[in-house]
Amino acid sequence: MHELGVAESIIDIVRAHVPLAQAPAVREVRIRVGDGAGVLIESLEFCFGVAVAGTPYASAVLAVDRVVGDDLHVVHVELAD
Amino acid sequence: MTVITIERKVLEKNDTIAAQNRRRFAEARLFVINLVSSPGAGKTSLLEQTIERLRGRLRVSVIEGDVQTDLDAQRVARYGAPVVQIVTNGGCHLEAKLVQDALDQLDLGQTDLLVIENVGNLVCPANYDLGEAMKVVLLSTTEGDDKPLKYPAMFRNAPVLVVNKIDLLPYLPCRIDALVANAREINPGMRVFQVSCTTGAGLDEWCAWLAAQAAAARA
Repeated sequence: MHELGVAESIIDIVRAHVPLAQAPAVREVRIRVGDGAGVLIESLEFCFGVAVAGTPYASAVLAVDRVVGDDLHVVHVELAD
Repeated sequence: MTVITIERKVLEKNDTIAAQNRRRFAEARLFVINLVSSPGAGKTSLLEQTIERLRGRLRVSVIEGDVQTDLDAQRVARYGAPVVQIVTNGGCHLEAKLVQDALDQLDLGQTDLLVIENVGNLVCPANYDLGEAMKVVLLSTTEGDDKPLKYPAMFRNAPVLVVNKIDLLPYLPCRIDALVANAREINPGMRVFQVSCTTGAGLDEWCAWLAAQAAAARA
């Protein structure tokens, strides 16, 4: 229901850690999602794709580590060299 | 491949604003609850009865959250409590920023108890801190005694459960012992009130507890 907002929050965090010039090099944004986090992962993956389309981060793909608990964290980003 | 480690909470922006709200509540020495339930469990009815019973004892202010209309704010206003209506236009839960903006329309210096009535939803509000002292989850007997097991995140995040519509128990398959047992299976320390907003049963105990919490916050 609010996965688009969650996707936009993820991108805001990535933006704060990756200089804009390096944005096109981002290949993967890895997140950790607990089963109690209240997030539908398939919906989040879809919304992430929608949110990055047409932006400097358009090459980024969401990678999800599924865990037990309430975690909802951005783990790291991978950039192509 | 270069890896930049981040390890940040996705909802950190909401948490930061929630912490600001919490500080503001502490400075005003308020007791603040985030009232959550599925639609129709009786949040607004509980508020009406609470405001009425606490009249002269506790000054109650209300923030209402709804997808559409200010119908709930109108109901609360009839009982004389200052109230601000937040309309989310589709948003399925309140967020800390919406509450922060609503606070500017309330006189926190003239308030002892602030109730934030969340959007009717047993799922999404569990994950959004608004700055409250605690969440209170309301579950009505007509919803069934298995709901704590089906919505564990909400029941785990709320120290208090209010069971409403206990006057209907003779007409329902809901078993109150099973409901409370299920809630305590998810959250062993859960405090449970059993009430009926229709008959008034249990409401004095609920209001006495609220008054004690507000007094503790004021001390």
